[in-house]
Amino acid sequence: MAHHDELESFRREWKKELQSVSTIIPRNEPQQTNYKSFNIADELLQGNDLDAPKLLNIQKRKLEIDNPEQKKKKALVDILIEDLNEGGIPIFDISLPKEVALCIFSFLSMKDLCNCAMVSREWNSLASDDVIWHKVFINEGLNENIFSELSWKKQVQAVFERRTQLSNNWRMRTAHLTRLEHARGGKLLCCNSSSKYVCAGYSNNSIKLWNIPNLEEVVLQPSENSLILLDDDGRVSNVPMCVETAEEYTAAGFLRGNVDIWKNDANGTMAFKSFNTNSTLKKIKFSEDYLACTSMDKIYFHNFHDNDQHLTLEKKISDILFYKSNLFVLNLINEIHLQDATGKDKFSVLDLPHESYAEKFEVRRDNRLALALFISFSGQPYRLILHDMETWKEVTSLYGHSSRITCLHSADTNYISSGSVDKLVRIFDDRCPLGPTSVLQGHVGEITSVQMDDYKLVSASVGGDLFVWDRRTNKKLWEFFIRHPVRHVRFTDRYLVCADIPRNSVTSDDEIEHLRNRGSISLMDFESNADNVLDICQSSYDEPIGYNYNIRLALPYDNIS
Amino acid sequence: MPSIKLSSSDGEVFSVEVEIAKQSNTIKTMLEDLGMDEEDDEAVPLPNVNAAILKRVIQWCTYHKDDPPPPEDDENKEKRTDDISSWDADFLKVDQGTLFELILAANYLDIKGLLDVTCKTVANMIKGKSPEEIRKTFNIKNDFTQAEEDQVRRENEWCEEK
Repeated sequence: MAHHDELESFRREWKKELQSVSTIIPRNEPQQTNYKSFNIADELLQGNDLDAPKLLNIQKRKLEIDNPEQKKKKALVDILIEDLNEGGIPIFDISLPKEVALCIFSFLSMKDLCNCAMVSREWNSLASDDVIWHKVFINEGLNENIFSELSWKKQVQAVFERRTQLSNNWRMRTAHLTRLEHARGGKLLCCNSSSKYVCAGYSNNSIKLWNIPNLEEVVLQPSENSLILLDDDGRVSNVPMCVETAEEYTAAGFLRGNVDIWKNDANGTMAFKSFNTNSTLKKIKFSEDYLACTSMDKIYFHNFHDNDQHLTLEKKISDILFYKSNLFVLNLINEIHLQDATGKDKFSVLDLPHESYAEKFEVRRDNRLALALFISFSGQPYRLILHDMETWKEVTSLYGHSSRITCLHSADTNYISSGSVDKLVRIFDDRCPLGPTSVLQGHVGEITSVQMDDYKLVSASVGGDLFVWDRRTNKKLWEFFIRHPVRHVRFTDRYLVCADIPRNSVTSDDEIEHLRNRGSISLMDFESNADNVLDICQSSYDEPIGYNYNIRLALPYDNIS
Repeated sequence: MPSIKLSSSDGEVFSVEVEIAKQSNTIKTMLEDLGMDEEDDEAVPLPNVNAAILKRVIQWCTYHKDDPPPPEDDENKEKRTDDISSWDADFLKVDQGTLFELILAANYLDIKGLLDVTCKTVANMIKGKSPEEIRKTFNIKNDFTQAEEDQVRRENEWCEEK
């Protein structure tokens, strides 16, 4: 009975429509049929049943399903035609082929697609189509392939839900804290991290590498050359001064100028390349094929496939950077050098104002170079400058600093953040050069690191304090205190790595330091749903673990029956 | 200017300049592959398009005959729906039935520009509407059971926050 009513109402609707429009012809009408389409329509309007009702609308489909008898009556040729027309989906008043309906839906946003999915069964299946949602996935710039077993719609959903969860966890500091330790290493001297690895150099000359997702740890063995150094007086100490890790390689630069390079995925822990630069190294950077390391006034290139090359500049070097295949060298005085990756061509791309000292720079995604500068003969000596990297013209100068800029970071948007000696973090909008859009205060020492994304900013200082700020309200979300100056902070969407490194780092070999004086590396994983409970508190009350004295500190005994 | 004849499903014959007709990839391929003689008096049959719609399609093609060929579909490009020219917008001020007939004709005749602009128009009719409003707009029956509807709502409400 139900579809009789439906049929009746449908006929009424149709009659109404026919009065306004007289030209609609149902599509997918078999050409061979004896009926003209209008005749079919008329018949249907009269309520007569047809042998092959191929007007594709919901009622008709239902009829077919409900009356298998009727289906049998169809001539073979009709069934063939129906198969050929399989794409026809009755989503609007008349049937549209699936690819056309998909074409319409491909213009819709996620939210509109979800609304469409709630319209009817047909619309639901169409608006949840994998083809459309794959496009959404790509257009939204999603690249997480962690849910690859799901349909594309579910994947998009999972990614967005994960992001929401992560940002809530960041906000509430719901994270699993792990201390990355190397007990036999002595003091922590340097630390660095990439999205996959954390590496650290210790005072007993060992380098340790952690794989972030599973926290597998490897102790990397420095080469013989770096370990045993003899001069006229006998053995001299050598310690790592800087470490750097990238996708495939990890490298360490030593006090006496040695450089060791390890492959991250190698089973052995021996350095696969090693060379000596004879000058204390400050910084190492990787590009795809090259390693560049710098001391006070020299830069060494190392091509992984080739021989060493090196370049000497007579001026002091404050920072280096790989951009695409070129290396940028920031001199302390007046110049920025562009170094061709082959090491052959070098030329100055940017002359800075007279008597200016550049400290830091960074390349933004929009191909602009952000530069922290000190100009001595100027009313406002400290400033940030943006340069267009195509034309090397200055785009904007950003004023508002009262002392030396120690670090800067820019998100993909128009914003640049900087930290300076005066314990303040400033956020600038490069469309508004007059001054910082916000000033964040609260740190107890010189800022050592800033990093931000669209929602938050993480900053740390020599006072051992790390703050996470809300970008929208400019309020502190939470803080984290460590003992020593925080020298390395880096976050990804899921992890935060920070390292505090003691001040007087270089000590003699045999001095045994108390744990708290050694410095530490902390890794926070914001994807965990655990509510901040320490591992030790989650132990079951098994006999041996139950006696662990640490439990007493964290849990009241009256809960144990 | 050479012209060909197109015959609609209900038998009406239109004479169209070849250059205009060739905006339809279907007709273009037909002319090239079958080697149809341009002076041939025989009309090309278009059994899926009726006279009223064919007339409109020809009108659209005539106006757009000097357009540069549409760019290849870029999978990674965000599709816009607010770039419909004012002439097209006026042209597409028709009732829903005609609009869908135009889409079908554009699809059958493989006229990318017309298909795009008509699909965009329909997409604009969907945009920003609640499911109930969409049902009203396109006269669609809600065939979910209550339980199904609840489930579908649960499955899709994550978008609400975006």
